[in-house]
Amino acid sequence: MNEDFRDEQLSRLYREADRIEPPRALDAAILAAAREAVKPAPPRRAWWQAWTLPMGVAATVVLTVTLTLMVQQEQERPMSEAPPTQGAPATAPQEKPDAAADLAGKPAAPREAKQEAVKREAEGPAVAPAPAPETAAPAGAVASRAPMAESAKSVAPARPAAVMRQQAAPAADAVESRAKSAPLRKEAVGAAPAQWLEDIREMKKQGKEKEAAEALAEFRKAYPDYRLPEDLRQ
Amino acid sequence: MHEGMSDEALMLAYRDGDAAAFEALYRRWRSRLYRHLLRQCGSAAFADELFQDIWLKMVNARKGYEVAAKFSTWMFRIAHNRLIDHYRAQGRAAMVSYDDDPGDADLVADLPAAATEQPERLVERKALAQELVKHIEALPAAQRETFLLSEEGELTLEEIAAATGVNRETAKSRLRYAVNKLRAALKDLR
Repeated sequence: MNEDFRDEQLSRLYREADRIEPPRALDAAILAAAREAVKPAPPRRAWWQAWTLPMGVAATVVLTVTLTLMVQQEQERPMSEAPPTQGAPATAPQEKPDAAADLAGKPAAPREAKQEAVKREAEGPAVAPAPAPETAAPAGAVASRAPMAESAKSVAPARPAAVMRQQAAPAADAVESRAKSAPLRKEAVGAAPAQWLEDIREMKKQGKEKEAAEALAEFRKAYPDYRLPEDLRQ
Repeated sequence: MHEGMSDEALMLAYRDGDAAAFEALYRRWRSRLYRHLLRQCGSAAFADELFQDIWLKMVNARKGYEVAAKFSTWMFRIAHNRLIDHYRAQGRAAMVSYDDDPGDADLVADLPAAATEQPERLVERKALAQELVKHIEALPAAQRETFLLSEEGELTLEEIAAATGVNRETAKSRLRYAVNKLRAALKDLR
C-alpha cells in the first residue's frame, strides 16, 4: 500500500494526534435515516378494504331511513286507508265480533275494536252480536263508508263479491240517512249499537217516548238483523 | 453477525434491507471519514454537514449499489465530489490550485528517522502530532486530500486515483509531494 511513498513514522505520528470523532447526535441522525430508508412499508390495503368504513356507514344510513319511512307509513295507514268497519255488521249480525272483523278485513281492523267487542260480549246477550268495527269507527269516517265497503270487498275474497255488495250497500245507505237525521241520531250513528240502545233506553227513562221510538225505528233501519233487548222490543 | 463481513458485503446487505449491516459499516468508517473531512475543510461545522451529506448520499444510492470497486473507494469518491462542491460554494480558489509543487522531491531521503519511543517524550510527541496536523491542513488541497486518503482511508495509489478522478501517476506525485513537505516540516520542528 503506497510502499514507495508512505512513511510509517509519519503515519504513526499522525495517528498520535487527537482522534476526533463525529458528534453522537450526528451518528444518531444518520443511523435513524438509514433505518428509515429500508423500513418495510406498511402493506397496502386492498381498495375494497379502504371503502369498508364509508360503505358501512352509508348502508346503515340507508337502512335506518328505509325502516323509519316504513314505520311511518304503517302508522299512517289505519288513518287514511282503514278498511270499512260499518258494512260488515249489517250482513253478519249474528256472528261473533271477531268473525265480523274478519269479514271487514282483519289485517286492517284496529286492535281496540276487538277489545271493545270482547267487552260488549261480556256485557250480556243484548250486546253480544255488536259488530266490532262499528265501535272503532270514528264519527268522521261516516262519509267514507261506501268506499270502505268497496275496500271490504277487495280484502275479503272468500265471500262472493255480489254478496258483499248487497251487504255493504244497505248499511252504507242507512248510515248516510242516519247522518242526515236528528242530532241524536247523528250521535248514535257515531256510537256503537249498544251505546245507541243505551241512549234510547235513557230517553225512555226520561219519558221521551216519542223520541225514543223514533230513535229505535232508526236503529232498526240501520241494524235490521240486530236482536233488540227485551226492554226495547215493545 | 456482521463482524466478519467485508465492507462491500455489508453494503449489499443494506441494499437488500438489512439496517444492521449499515450500522456495522458506519461504525467501521465514521471516525476516519469524519477526520478526513475535518482536516480538509478546517471547520467542525462544515465537517458535520459534509459528513451527514455523504452518508445520506450513500443511503439514497443503496438501490443502485454494485460492487464495482472497494466500498472505501466509492465512499471517498462521494466525499471528494462533495468537497469540490463545498469549496466552490465557499469560493475557495485553493482547491483549483491542485498544483503538485514538484520542488522538494528529494526530501524523503533526508527525513530523519523517527524518534525513539521513550515515555518522557510522549508529551513532546503529542505536541509534535498536533503540529503535523496543522501542516497537513496547510498542504495544497489536492496533496492534502491524497495524503488523507492514504492515511485515513488506507487506499492504494490506484484507489486514490479512482476516488479523486485522476490517473495513478498524478496520485503518486501528489502523495510524494505531501509526504516530503510534512517530513521537511517535522525536520524543522526537531
